[in-house]
Amino acid sequence: MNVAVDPSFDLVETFNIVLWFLPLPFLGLALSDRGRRWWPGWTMVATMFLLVALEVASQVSGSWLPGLQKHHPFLRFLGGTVLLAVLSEGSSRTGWGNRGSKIQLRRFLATTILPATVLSAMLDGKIPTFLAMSPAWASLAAFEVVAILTAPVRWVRWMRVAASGLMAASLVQEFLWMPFSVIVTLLTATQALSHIRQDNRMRLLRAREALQPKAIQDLLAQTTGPRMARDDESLPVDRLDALLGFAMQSTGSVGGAIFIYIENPVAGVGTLSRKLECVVASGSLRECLHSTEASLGAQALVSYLPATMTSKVLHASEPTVAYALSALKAPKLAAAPLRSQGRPLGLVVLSAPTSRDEFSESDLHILDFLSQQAVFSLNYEAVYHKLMEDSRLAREFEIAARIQMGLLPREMPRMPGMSVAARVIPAREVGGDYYDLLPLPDDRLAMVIGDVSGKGLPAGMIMLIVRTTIHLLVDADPQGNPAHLLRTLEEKLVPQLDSLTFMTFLALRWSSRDRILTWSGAGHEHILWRSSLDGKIHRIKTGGLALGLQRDRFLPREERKLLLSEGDLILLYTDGVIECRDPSGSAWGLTRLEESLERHHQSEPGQLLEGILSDLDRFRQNILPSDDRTLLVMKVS
Amino acid sequence: MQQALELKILTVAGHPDARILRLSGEFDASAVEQALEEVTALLDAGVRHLVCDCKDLRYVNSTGLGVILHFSRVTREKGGSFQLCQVSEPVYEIIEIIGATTLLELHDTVEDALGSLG
Repeated sequence: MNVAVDPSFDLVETFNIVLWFLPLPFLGLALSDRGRRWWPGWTMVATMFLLVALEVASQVSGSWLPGLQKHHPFLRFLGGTVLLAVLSEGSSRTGWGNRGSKIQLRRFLATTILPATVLSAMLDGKIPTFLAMSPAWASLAAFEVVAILTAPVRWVRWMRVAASGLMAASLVQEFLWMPFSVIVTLLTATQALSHIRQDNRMRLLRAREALQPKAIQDLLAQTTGPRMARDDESLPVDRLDALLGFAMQSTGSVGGAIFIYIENPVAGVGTLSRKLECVVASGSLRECLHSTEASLGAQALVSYLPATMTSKVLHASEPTVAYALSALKAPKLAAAPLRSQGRPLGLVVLSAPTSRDEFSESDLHILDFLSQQAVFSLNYEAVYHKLMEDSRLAREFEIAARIQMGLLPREMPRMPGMSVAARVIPAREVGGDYYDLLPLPDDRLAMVIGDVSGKGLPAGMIMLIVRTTIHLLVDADPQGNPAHLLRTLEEKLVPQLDSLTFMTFLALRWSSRDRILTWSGAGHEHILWRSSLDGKIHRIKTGGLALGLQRDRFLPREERKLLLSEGDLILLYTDGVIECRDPSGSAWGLTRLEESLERHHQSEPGQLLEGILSDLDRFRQNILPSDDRTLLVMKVS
Repeated sequence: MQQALELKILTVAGHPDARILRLSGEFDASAVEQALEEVTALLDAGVRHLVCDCKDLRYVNSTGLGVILHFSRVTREKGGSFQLCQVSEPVYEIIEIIGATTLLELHDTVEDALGSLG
């Protein structure tokens, strides 16, 4: 390289040259010391701006820094390249600027401009003077700076395509430095175009990633986030494996592993409820699978790393990291924690690439991507399985509800001297209210109504026991009286009830021939009797102790009778009916039920029942009933 | 307006193993967990006798009453006692409907209830 130096070499010029190379020591420092000191990065950024300011000042005044522009085009070019390198390195150290653009810039400098310069200088021994003046180079450099500061990476790529065209054009004009121009144009154009293709692929990936936030985050908010169990099918091992493979291939890393918190099924006193375990491992980190030591190392890293999902190169200078590295049996690692909903999910680690034994910024970028995708996969599976589980439970409840409803009388019994209608509306799919109508010989009818305390599936199962017992007892003894039925039911049922569950029950027997209603009660609500003789509604206490309240001895049950006449109405209900509330919080109450009965008393039982229910719906408006509701209406004809 | 159940626990002078439970508001299924938890903790801590002051208990449904009866049974099984006092009309009605008047010791005032502790 024969650099033409002006013989009138003076102090100002020497200073200029020194200035241009000033960033180099900092660059060296930054590359050799990847520690956490803040000053190298900021000094480099400041130097860069100082030099640009000096250059601008010299252009404007034309008096200061005159030598470089005239006499040292190669130095000027090299200086510009170094400036960009300094900016890139400096801003990386300070975490400032667009990370993707910086990575691209460094790759561009390393693979295109510097080799082309050296190659060209070797081929014809001359300095590519045109570069110093070329508007293409100047605009490219300016654009790189802008891109690092603000712009998306893809602008830089298109700019480079344009710049390579401009360079070619300026070379045709000067018809000089042919080998260099060809090399730099070809390299720039191919690299930029391949990057654009890569960008498009990344955009696709990101578009898929963008599906995550809204829909899935909303659903995740309903769960406590992913909770993995060993051999759980919601653990997306295949996908994690594929992601790890992709990350290793892209970075050239020799090994990688993903650790996930696994729920401990036998958690209890003295055991951890969840434990970090290696679920996927590859290459040099393969041994992490099934290694307790590796799990402990990974656990130490999770505690050590900051609670953000940013990848970090691990330095053995920290004692925690040194321990983790030895536990994982890896000399050099980069790691990224996995988090979702503010909860740690696990950890991703990647060994250094063989070729460099050092992580580049693009490697960390890929590790970031890997960790985000891993969390996405875990969240996706958790949400998917929650939905599946919910819909499976919903289906099973639906079936249970259908079975329960199917067990209630399908048709109202028809018999001379009376008509009857009944309806149960559970607060949930399955309920603990029960009624039944069982025709007996000699124009008689057994009617029962009951309410298991509590609601939902547990109450519904007790209701099924009661129903089965009642049917067996009535079939076995059709002549049996209500008190006997109740007493036998109590004996069979009470031992099955837990200490907090009880059941109110009312067993009645109607005889059309003598119009006598006989009943025996177990703590149930009143019988409402509307007598056609006085046109009044009477509350009749049903008496008795609810089933399950007294467990040590069962006393004989009392029986009461009522003689009815034509047109008389009997209304039976469960407390869920009168406990329905309106938006202001007041309950419907017995008085309103009686008023409603009075309002509809001329209707036939079926319509009367619908009338009462629609009065109740009007009262409660949009307030959902908290308990099951049952109504049974009988009319004497 | 529906009011949540409020449960206050007061100590009784001269009776270290007795407590007054002052219930106010409405006692239905929504309050079961809370009541069970607090009273079970008391019984586990060695309290034998409970006096349940229902002066401000406006309403109880069958589920709530089931829990009160459960306390009554558990204290008696442990050799203690359970008493209700100042029960309002609507609450008494529910006790009567369920048929539990014979299972519960009812008193007009807290003093009467405490007096029966001896």
